[in-house]
Amino acid sequence: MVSSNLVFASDEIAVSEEVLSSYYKEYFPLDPFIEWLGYRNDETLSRREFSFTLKDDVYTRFRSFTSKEELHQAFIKTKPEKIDIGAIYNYSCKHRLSPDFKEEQRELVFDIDISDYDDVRTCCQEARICQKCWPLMSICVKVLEETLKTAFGFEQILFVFSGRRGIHCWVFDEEARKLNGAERFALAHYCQVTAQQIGTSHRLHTHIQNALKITDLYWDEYLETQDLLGTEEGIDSFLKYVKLDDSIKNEWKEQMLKYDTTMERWSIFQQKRKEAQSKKYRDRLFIERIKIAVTYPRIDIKVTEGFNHLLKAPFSVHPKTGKVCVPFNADDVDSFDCDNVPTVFSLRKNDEELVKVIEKQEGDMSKKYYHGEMKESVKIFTDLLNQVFSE
Amino acid sequence: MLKLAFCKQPDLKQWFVRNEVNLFRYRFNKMSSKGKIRFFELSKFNLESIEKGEITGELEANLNDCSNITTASAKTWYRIPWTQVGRLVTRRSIFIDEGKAYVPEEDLIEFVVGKFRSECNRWLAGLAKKFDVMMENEQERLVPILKSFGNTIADADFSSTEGRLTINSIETMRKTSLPPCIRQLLDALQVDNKLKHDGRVHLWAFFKAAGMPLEDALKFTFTRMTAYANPEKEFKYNVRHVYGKEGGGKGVGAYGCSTKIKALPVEGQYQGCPFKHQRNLKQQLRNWGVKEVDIDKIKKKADDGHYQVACNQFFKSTHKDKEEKLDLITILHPNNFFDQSFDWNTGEHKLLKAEDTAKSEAMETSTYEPAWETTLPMSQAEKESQSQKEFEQDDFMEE
Repeated sequence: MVSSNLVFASDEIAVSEEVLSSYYKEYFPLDPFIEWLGYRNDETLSRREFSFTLKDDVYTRFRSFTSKEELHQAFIKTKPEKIDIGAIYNYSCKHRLSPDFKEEQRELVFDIDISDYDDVRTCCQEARICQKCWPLMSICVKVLEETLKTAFGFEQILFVFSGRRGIHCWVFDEEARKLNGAERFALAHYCQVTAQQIGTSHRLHTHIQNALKITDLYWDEYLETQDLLGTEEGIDSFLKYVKLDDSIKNEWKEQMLKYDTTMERWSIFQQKRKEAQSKKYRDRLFIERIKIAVTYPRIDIKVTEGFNHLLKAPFSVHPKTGKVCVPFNADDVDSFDCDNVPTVFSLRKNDEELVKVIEKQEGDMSKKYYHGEMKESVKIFTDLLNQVFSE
Repeated sequence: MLKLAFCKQPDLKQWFVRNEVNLFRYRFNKMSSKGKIRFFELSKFNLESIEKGEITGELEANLNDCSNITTASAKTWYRIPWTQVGRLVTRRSIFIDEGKAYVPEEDLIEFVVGKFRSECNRWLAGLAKKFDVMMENEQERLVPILKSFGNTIADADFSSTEGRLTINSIETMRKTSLPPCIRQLLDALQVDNKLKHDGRVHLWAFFKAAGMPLEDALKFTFTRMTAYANPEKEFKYNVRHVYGKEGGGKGVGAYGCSTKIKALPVEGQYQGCPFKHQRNLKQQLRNWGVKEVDIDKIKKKADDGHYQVACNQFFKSTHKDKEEKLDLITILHPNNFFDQSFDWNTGEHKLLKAEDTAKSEAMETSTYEPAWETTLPMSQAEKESQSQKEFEQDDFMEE
């Protein structure tokens, strides 16, 4: 089909039904996917909510499936443009109108979109993302991982590229799945630090200190590549977070304008911070406040808070980019290249080679998704599942 | 009795639990420290206390950084699963490590209150289940009494007449009659040509309740939210859903003051109450043309946490004539602000029409009895759409 390569906008590509269909048939890692969603139990699986977005943005919620085959058939028959995963309920979704139908389990999830960072990046806007602003996502991954592991004690964490403009994080731990609404609310708010929460001189919470340590790994380079203080507006946007009188801030601004580069201007902030330490200024935490404002993970709190919130499934295809939502390793987040992930098109292109590879394989290993472009991300996923089921 | 009356409706239940919890908290605080110790003994919570010797070095630093209580002043620290002290986690005022929260004795009240709250919710959930059976033989005796309880708490519906707000009138209305929380959204929309999800829904729900026809709301959305590639495609369904034309058919009710005050807007979100969330309230009021004398008054009220009183002051300051009567106006809801303002400006307000007798004035004031100390009840429409929040969230627990 010609339409499959039709380019709408710079990064928008129409994914035809035929391409989608062949992806679901041959490359979608159905076995581990199903194993996960039902936690190796078809009865549990039948109580899990699926939502399909079909052609022309038709949403269909509360679908449920009793077996792998049934889901596979549905994929092929309806060719969903988008697959969302919801909660495991106490009854099958067929009984969703029953008065005591309610959520029973749900992975703890986080959703972060780069478009929420438009005020602190100069390279791209909206849904676009590039290597220059990816460090923001790196910080998110590291802060979330650190918080979930050390503070909350969770271990089974999956990070997924959402296919276009951000990342998702899924926590599979049983304790996480069984958190109730109030507990999710508490955790989500614990993980939502805002600049306003940073006072002028108090001790910072360990969580904030840890986040700042992670930010510091990226800060100087990010500041420089984005040239955040390159313009007067840029300087103003930072000064906005300084809790001092306008007269003092204007004085600082004039000093900064004498220099040309972002880094020279930033060094004025650092110098002021030193002076503040010797009690010259009332606000002694403005550096911390600025760093939090610019880099602290901007999670979509509604998603984490909600027990029944839907989130796009790992390994589904982003309908506008054709990219597969691949899981990635948190340790490798810095080198993750979102322009170099498998797409439905690249998979097709390399299909012939792959066919030769799998001809030599037997049993499960003859599945295409265990090889080629999909291999790495499927392995990350199955490794995590092994960890889940080994307990 | 109240338990019975309130167990069936989520917002009444929430109101009941909140007040019970407040009473419990008050009583607990009144207890002597001896009494508290006895209480803990009797309750058998089996709390894990931490040895003094263990609190040194890094742990000591962490505890001091994270708690409001210093290790020097705290008596004993306890290690409690974080899920049991949700409030402290939400406020980020404790140190958490490996899933365990380190709670000083002074903060244990949150743990106890949490237990009490979930107990309360459990009673109510249990009652709700049995309610229909229990009421079978009570149709004449108890049921009417129970109904009357509910009515005094939540009887408000703030919908305006259809067509009161239209796409043609919105720009004039914006300056004369729209409530500050909605003006704030429109201001942001004008600058950015976009709004985040919550902001959009708040705006549409307000439009609907203000009587704006669906076609106008759609047109407004498509012509003003231009930062999106295809607003028509993206939002048509959502607007129709708010108007009850898609999905379950009920639609979304307009959000009230309590929702807006409780909201936690982050950078780039504007759905909150400006008197609570606007960081530069004075400048904002100046931009809206409020007189300098009034700005200070409003700011003072807002700073003291009387957000709805501040909103009332705003109404007074932006409306003219008959000042003695303006004093009697009380705003209960964003749509109520709009309605009262509209009526006032067209001379149709009931305070303007009422006879100047002491009796009618007394009547008006009593119907609009303010309840500043507690958050206002939600309107009928709002009840249907109120998203699950804090207290209600306990409903999920152990039902």
